Amino acid sequence: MMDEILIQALSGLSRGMVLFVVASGLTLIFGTMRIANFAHGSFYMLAAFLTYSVATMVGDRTWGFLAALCLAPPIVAGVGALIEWGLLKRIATRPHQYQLILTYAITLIVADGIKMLWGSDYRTVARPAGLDGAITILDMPFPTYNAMLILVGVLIAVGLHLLLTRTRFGKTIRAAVADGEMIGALGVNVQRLFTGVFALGAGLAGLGGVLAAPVGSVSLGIDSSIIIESFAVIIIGGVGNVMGALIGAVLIGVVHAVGILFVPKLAIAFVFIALCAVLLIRPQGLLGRNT
Amino acid sequence: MKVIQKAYGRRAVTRAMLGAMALGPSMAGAARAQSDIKIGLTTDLTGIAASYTRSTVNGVELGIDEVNAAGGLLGRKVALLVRDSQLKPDLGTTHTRDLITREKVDVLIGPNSSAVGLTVSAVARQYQKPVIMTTPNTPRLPMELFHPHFFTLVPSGLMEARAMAEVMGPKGKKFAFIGGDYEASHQGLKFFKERLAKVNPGAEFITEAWPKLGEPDYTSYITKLASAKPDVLFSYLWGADLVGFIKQAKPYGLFNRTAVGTLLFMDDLKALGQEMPDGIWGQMRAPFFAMPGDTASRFVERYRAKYNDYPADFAIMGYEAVMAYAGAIKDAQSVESAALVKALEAGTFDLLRGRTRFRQLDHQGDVPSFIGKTAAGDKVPFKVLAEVERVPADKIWPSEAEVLEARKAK
Repeated sequence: MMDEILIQALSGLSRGMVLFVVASGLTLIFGTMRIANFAHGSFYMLAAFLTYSVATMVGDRTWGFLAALCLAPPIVAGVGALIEWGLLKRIATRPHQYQLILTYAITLIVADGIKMLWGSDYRTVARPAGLDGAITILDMPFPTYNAMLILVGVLIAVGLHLLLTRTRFGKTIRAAVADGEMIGALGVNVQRLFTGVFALGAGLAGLGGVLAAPVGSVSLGIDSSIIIESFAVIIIGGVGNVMGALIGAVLIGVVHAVGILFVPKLAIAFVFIALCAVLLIRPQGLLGRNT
Repeated sequence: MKVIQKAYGRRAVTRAMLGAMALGPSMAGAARAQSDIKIGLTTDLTGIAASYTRSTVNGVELGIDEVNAAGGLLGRKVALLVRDSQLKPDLGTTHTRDLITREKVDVLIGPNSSAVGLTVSAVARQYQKPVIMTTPNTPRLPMELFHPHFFTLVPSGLMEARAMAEVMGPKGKKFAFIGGDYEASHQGLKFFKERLAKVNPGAEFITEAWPKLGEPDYTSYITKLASAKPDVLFSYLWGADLVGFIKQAKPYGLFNRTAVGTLLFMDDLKALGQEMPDGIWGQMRAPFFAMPGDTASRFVERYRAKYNDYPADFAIMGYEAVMAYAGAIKDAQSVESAALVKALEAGTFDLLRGRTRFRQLDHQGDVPSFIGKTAAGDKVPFKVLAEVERVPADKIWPSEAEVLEARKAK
């Protein structure tokens, strides 16, 4: 039984890692700009479709995936920067609900745009050679790709941590999360910072989309399922806190996976039970600061 | 899209009239359009089922093109009016009502989703217009919600689950289930278990998995299923969900150790391509590669020539609905509802899946359920089904007693 729980937790961990990559971008945007960015799932979906196209164009499954990994996140980050610069900036001084409506409108526009460009068929992306098999853990097969996801997730977490603690850009972001008005007063170009953060966040959503593409199917609608869970992650972890997002995502992944083992019919509810518990006991999130 | 006569409402009528006044000869065109036989198709062009719906519309269009090329029906051309119900039941009602009352359509073809199917069928009942369903297959439609103007060419969910139990039932003792957590899936498992108890009384279900619809990551469900070591896995996943599940379950070797039986559409075969493992038992509604005779292979060629794609199950069933209407209108020599219903009840129609009749009791077309094993296709760039078994309708459809019981309980 212990083996089963462990392997189950491991599969939950790999699920949590993709969620972490996407949610870390969302939490940075939310924390810095105070925008609940519904379009975040659209960046994820756009990257997944780009992965499909790049992989198909390159042909080879390994090189195709690597090419997508290099191309799709920067492209999506660029799209994010354009959206911030061209749209969100224009209404930055308006009340928050306008930004909410605008980001929601963007989700519809991106979804229809994808439908126009790629059609409404669902598609698949092959896993890179060498990662399409399984390794044996505790006498049970575990997909190599999922094992790789766990490693990559850890690497990205470390990378983000270094970015936020060791670079000027990262330190400015953390300062903006702590007190947005103050950094403006201190002479930081807030507009450029916001565009940069939005691009970084969109790029992370894009990275998540590339990593997730070979796991399941690439189809319209994957934007809405990821956005709901991502919001759950950042509420659990604390808004603006990347390490909080890591803990929140891993928690959701593992709780969901182990839940399936014991109470399969309630598996879907576990995520939201965890969310409610956090909201009741620690409303600012596990690593959030009291404001 | 060319043959779709889009309905733009009053503006279009005014524009047409102005046009007619400006150009004398086009008056004749307007008069001829008046006497077209109109088929109304309310269906879910937007939403997760969009690609299925596209296929349905393609099949219907192709059918109408062919009927018109052969001189139309009763000396009149056939026209198609398409409306988008967006998977929303209330839009199913308003569009269908509008098609009947304002556009004066003569007959209807049903939508994609069962939820919209219920409202479209209700409007057809209210206005006494024949409707043929080609995709929604909740058993409630032909059973308790039946009305004389309703016809269906899809095997109902009840029939499909029973067909699956007939084929998968004898393959082992320990059964497992995975299906999206929604009504049709719970019903499907119930019907499967009932028939399994007859086919293989010693069989038992050892585990069930209920992911949400649209679940992106099945890994946790798969580890649970794999550790239960079932002989047979009955899957009620479909579309993008099924594709995700199959891709993720492959590294676990689930398909080597367990006989997996699942609902399957051509779109899934196409999406997975060579990633589709061999030896999965797929249940299809109308696989183009397993249709009998030359008529079907010629249909596939014409479809490919027109749309540059293979016809999905939905395209075939949409095409067949047009063919059934064409046959019935010729038999009745009328498009009047009562005469048409009689002709549909009495006729035998040569459809792509074979000769088809509608049963008097519930107007269920006696279409088979196709179950076969995935294997490489020699003519197509994706996997197909081999050793396809046609489970006949009369083995799986509800008995008269069952239908009457359901209607009494309502």
